[in-house]
Amino acid sequence: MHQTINIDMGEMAVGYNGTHIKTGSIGSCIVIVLYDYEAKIGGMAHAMLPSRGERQIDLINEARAHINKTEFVARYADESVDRLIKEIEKIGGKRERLKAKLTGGARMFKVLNGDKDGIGYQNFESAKRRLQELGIPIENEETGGTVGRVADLNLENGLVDVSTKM
Amino acid sequence: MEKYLTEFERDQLVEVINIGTGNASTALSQMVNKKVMIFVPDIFVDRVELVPKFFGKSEEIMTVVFLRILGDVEGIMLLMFSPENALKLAGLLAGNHKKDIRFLDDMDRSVLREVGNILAGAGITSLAKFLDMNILHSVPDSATDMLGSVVDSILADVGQGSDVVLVFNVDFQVDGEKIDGQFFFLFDPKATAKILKATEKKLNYKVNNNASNN
Repeated sequence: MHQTINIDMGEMAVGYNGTHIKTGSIGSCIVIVLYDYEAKIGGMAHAMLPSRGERQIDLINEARAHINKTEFVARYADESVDRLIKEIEKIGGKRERLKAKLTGGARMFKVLNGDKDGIGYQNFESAKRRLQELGIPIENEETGGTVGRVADLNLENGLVDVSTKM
Repeated sequence: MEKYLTEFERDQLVEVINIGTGNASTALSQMVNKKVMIFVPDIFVDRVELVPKFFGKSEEIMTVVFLRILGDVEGIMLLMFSPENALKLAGLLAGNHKKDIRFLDDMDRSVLREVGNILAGAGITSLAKFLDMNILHSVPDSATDMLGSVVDSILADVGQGSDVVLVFNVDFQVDGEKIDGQFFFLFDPKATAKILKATEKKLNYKVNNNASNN
């Protein structure tokens, strides 16, 4: 029997062989999976927004003052990549051996986000750009469209099971 | 939740939403020619990432009609049905009954969007009148998918501008047809403050009026 870690929007998890990391109902969010095939160590992040703008910092500080809670670790796609690498290295993975997989980035409504591509595409672009900057190859991607997805990472072999319901 | 809103502010907001949904459900009632019951609004304020749980089971398939609220107060209005209920409602209005949500064709989707349009029109016009504001709504769009995915996309949009979101949920039921649905209204803190200010102004005005009459 394997252990399953469930993560929600804005969260991330890393783990060893024998664990599954699962995240449900991905819409325009982007799910970034990094896996080290040799060490059988990997992680998954479920990011909501492409990147932190200057305006965002103000808003978050403002909100923090009211709420007194730490920020969600995987709120932004680009920062999640860095964070995920750091966490994987902490438990013994190697940055050079990491391979990436991306899923999500759908566009559920046409009227949402006035611009042409929508936030799903921006999320995908942001994650992809950061991975390229860091030189991590993207092995596979299952993104875009107008469909919600569920992703399940098997840390035994690095396979990601992406399923839809519609 | 108490740390975000006082009891009095909460009551004010609930009353405002009651006016909107009351009018919207009257419109629905006229459309289907049946009695429509609405329930007391539920209110939820928290960080954007924590909101999906308020909407329901994340992996359940739902039909959601989406409208953007524009103008003096900006926000989002949603109309949510289970696929069965969406089919029933579309069937009731378009006159063709289908059994499987996968057979929902463009016509049915269009019917549902139109329902959204009419309900939002009625609800938002009454809000605009009550708050003395200029409020409009966008064209509707609909999606049928896992609830979490749909909500996730909407929240990403809200999250771009704000860290905290206020959500209202009003259940309604079409009598005799067993069609249940839910209205959702989403406002960021800025819009919430505007609504509160407008209601306060209205209340003061009424109090003053009464005083001068006496």
